[in-house]
Amino acid sequence: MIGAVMGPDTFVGREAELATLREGARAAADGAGGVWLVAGEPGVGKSRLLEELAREVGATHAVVWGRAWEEGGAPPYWPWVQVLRAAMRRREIGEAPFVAASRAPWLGQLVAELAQGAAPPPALEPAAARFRLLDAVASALTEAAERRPLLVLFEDLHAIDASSAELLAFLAREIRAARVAVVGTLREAEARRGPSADALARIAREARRLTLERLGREPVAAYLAGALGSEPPDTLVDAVLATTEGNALFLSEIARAPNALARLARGDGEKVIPPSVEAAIRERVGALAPDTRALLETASAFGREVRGEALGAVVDLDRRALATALAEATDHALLVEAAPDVYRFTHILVRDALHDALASERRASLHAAIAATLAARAPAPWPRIAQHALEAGAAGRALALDALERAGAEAADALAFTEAATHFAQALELARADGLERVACALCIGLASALRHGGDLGGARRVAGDALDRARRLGEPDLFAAVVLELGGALDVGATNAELVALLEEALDGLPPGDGAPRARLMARLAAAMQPAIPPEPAFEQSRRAIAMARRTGEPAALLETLRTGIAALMDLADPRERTALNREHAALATRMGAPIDALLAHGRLVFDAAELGEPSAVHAAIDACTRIVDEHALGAHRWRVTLLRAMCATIEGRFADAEALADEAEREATRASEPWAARSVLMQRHFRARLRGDADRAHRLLEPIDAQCAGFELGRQMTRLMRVAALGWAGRREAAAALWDDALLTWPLGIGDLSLLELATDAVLCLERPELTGRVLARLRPEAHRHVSWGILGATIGPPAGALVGRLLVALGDAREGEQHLREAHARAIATGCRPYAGWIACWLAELPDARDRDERGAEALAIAEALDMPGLAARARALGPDSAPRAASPAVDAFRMRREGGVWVLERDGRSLHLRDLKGLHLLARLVEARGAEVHVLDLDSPTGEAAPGAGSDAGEVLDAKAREAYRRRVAALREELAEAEQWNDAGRAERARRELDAIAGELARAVGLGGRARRAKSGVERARVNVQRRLKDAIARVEAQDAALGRHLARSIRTGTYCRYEPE
Amino acid sequence: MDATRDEARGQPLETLGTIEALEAIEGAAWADVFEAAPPALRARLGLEVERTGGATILRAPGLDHVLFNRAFGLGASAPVEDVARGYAQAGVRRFFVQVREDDEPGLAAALTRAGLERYPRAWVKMARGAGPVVEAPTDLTVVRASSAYRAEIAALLGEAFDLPEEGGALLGGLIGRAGWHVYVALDGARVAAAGGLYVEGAAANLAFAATRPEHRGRGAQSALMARRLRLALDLGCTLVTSETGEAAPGDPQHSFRNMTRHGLCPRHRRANFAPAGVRWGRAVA
Repeated sequence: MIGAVMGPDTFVGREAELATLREGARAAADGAGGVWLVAGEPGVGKSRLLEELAREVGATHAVVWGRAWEEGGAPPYWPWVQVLRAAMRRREIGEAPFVAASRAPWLGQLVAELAQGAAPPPALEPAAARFRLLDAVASALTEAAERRPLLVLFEDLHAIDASSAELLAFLAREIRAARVAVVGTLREAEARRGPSADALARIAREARRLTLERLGREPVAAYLAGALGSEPPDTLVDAVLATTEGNALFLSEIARAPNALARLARGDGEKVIPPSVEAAIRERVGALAPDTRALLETASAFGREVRGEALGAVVDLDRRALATALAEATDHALLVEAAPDVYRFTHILVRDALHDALASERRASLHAAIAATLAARAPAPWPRIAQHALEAGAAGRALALDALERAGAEAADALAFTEAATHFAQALELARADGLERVACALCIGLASALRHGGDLGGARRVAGDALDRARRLGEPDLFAAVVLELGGALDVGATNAELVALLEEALDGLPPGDGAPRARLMARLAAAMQPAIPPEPAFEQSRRAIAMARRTGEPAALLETLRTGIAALMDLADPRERTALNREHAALATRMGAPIDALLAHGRLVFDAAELGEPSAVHAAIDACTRIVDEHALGAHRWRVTLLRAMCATIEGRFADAEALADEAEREATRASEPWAARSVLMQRHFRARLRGDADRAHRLLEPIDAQCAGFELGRQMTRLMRVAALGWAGRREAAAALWDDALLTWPLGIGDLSLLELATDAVLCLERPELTGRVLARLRPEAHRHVSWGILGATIGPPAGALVGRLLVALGDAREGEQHLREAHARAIATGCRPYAGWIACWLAELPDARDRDERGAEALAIAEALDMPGLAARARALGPDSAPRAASPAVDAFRMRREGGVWVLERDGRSLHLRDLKGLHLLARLVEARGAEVHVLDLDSPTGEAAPGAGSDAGEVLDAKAREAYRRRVAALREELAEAEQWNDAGRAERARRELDAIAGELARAVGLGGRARRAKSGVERARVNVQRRLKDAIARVEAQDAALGRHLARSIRTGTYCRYEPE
Repeated sequence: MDATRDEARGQPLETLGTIEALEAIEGAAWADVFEAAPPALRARLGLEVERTGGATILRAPGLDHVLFNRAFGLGASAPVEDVARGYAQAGVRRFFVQVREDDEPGLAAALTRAGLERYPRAWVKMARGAGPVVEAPTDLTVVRASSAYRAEIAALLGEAFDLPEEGGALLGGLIGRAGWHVYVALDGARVAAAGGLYVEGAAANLAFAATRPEHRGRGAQSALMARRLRLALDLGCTLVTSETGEAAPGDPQHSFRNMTRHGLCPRHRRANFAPAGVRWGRAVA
């Protein structure tokens, strides 16, 4: 009998999908987490599948739900708020993963109760703060899952807000090895059109997907059997299948509509085809008590979900009638109590059917009442209030505008910039339509800021541009200044923004005269906007004045911002000593004010200040400070910068493999943090590393992606073209370089005097052999010969001592004597600063000098460095130099070469010839290497009579200089630098020269005693002693062989590799 | 019974309705449990309810469990021999005749003639008025049960009361039925506990409740009771009743304590009489 229908608790037709998800949850429990998306049309049974999964794994997993708010107006991260709250309340998990000191401040932005008692989150730039938030959620959930496997279920992902989708995309990458499974339902067509389409597409790439098709005959029959309590007749199954077309929701609605099912059951040929699911739902609602209908209508205006208490405040029912109506609505499976006192329509189509059926006036009045009720709460849910106020029509307009503005501000505070932009844009539309000019202008600033922080710089500029006109019309200088500063919120890279400069000047003109924080900020921003400029000095001056004014205002926040922006105008062009002082001030102030991002920025800048000054210990100290800041403040989004700086140090120390590995790591960290700038810096560093090693092919290959990265700004385009010419020059491809050359390429290097561009220019003009250009580059470089080339964070690279460039240019112009002098000084500087690869190249250039005094020695040094550090380009060039290092005629094939000792004589045999040599230590070493053909033998093993390293052989002889002596040297260096600066200022060449000589001497001494990291260098170690001894003895032995058998000698010279590890590797 | 006034709830116990009223709402609830069964099932289990005067006689020969085979609200002059004979004629071997303590002396001889013996444990009839409901915190989530939980609730109750399979299904099937309000305490997605409330007019009966053994001690029953009491009050009830086993030395009866915490006070003691050897639970083959 139809009256016995028991409701849709029968689960049919999804066994395979359920098994797949069950297996996924099980795999997650074993530490192989992942994301599954369940797609399908409305009503096909997606949510039911998740409910069944939740029930099945509920005994082994902590199951938590998050539901998107399909009607709009949900606060940012709403589904995650639900997930976090549910997870925290799970007894097996507890609150510990969520209240950890490093996370609570961030999670507290989503879940208010976590903010209580937690420290406020540190002031970070939006991108970093957002990363911290995402990381806090992901790490809390993965830690929670360590206590019990976690199954996170999301309903209606197609309606998820953009911030939540970003968080899910982030989590998807984090849980591959965690005990977390995420399953979400979505309707694909709506997902593609929705506000989170991009993020959902990214999630889809990480996720496995199940698509639910409509039910076939068998499941429909099974469902009916479950609902009726007996096997349904075939005619009923066929009729229901034809009517519902296998849509699960439709099936359940039909099964709940007794009249329709009765008619179908009669099988009398009458087809019962409700025009739609909506019609079936309305029919069902129509049969309920009037109070229940009124309650459902009101609930439909709230949305898919409503609190019973809020519903009660709006619906015109007394307590008893409300309880009765809620009971009836839930008993008829139109509502379900999803959480205590939270009622939810069983399907969005149920809600939509009811909402669509409301008369427009009734609908508007319901929304107005809801908006007013919600607005009276504390805290008020502004996004939802705005949504309802908008739906209320004219009566809700004022409230809508206010609510949207507040919602935008709240979203921005919660780092949900997409939502913030949406709210501000809606508010702006209302304000414009109502002619509220000042409000519209302020909203434009909020919108532009949200767009900028969300990464839409173009959109931000357009909106701020619109605000400019309004602010001008309003004639309010402070408002105009605020708009202009927002317009300049993002620093331009490599291009002067003339329009912004003009606006900043206009804003400055509008402010009242005299010192003031707004003026200082505008001036600093103006200085930065002016760069790169030819000449750069006016921008320097502007920056200095701004910083001085900010100091005078006594407002730390203004000074901090002014230093941050103003120093940007000085990097990397002004004197590094001046920059050092300012960056130290910036770092100290940032630390005092608890602004870690500013502190990080300042220390990052100090790295390059120190690099240019040739102070390796200061370089490392600054990097160490960056590391501490990143660690202490868990600034994961910035870790890539520190890692890339370490890669930079590894490069100049010649640890190329380490450097590449670190660059790989930096790339991974930057990808994790979605840091768009990182790719360019990593690529450029890789290019320069390849060039330094002499790997021309790789350096060339890397230029293409660098081109793409730098195509967006004029200086970038010029720079990359110059890099191409320089790379061709470095590779000796003069014709190709000449074909690409344009004299205008020297405009920027010569105009702004940037050392990195001048390095490129040097390589280019030396290759082109254009004396007039060479002279111009030389003139610009010469005053900077005491500095090191630095590429700043853009290229994350430290170049050679500029003196090396000067020396090469001088030599090319025929002044070999002075050129050699510069090269020797640069060589000493490279050695002193631990830059062995550059030392190798400079040694090679010295060896290549016409009439070089010590060609062999320099050539051998270059070759030794090249071989030790694996620098193929340098090695090839060094071998071309001479007997010890030059490429010799190909040695004859030497097969079956053997050595044996007969008493005090060594017998060397090859090709039927014998060679007799007196016993020598070097021959012992040679024999051991020949015996271990192809294998690397450590010098300590080789040098030991037993073939094993002697105990303590690897130990050292202690620090070369004691701490007291080092400190004395440092103080003297500081005094000498001041003396040198003063002497240069007064054009006192003699005094300056004396200071320089003493500085060089001390630098040499300190470099001998202090490693690049500022760590005291140990006196020559046992290894080093052994390496030198072995090399000398082998060389001596080979020379003796060569004296008797030139071919064999050449063979050995080419086949024996020395260094810390030695080997015999016949070619 | 030592409690004569529920001052905390602000209502003198003597005003909480007559003995008949207390028994009647329980009778109405269980009569509806039988009525709710689909006809085919009702026929198969032989479900019958007899309600005369204040008495309710439940007979379920296909459900061999005293919960579904019991007579209560009989009064001092009840024909207990006829009642016992009725069970025998229906083929019910295990049943309870529940007699109010005050009525027992008058009925003792008839009960003996009917071949019934006093069951070791008595029940207590509890009642409260419309006073405020105390908070009952729990880490579980208490919500109104939807039909999706039907099978799980049926299994839970079946296990808790040691019912035959159809017994649990009968109670689970009450979800969504008019007059019934079933709530669950969820541990994530899993039903940890469940409880049912029956409302008729201004009276309500906390008809059944159970907790999974592994979820005991987490406040589920207290929270379920608070939730059902609040609803009963919202629906305008002025009388809420329930029944539970009597506390005994060494067996404190948590259910009893829960009820008293929520303002339910003992109204009268019910002695259970059953054929010799009958025990609670499913029949052991």
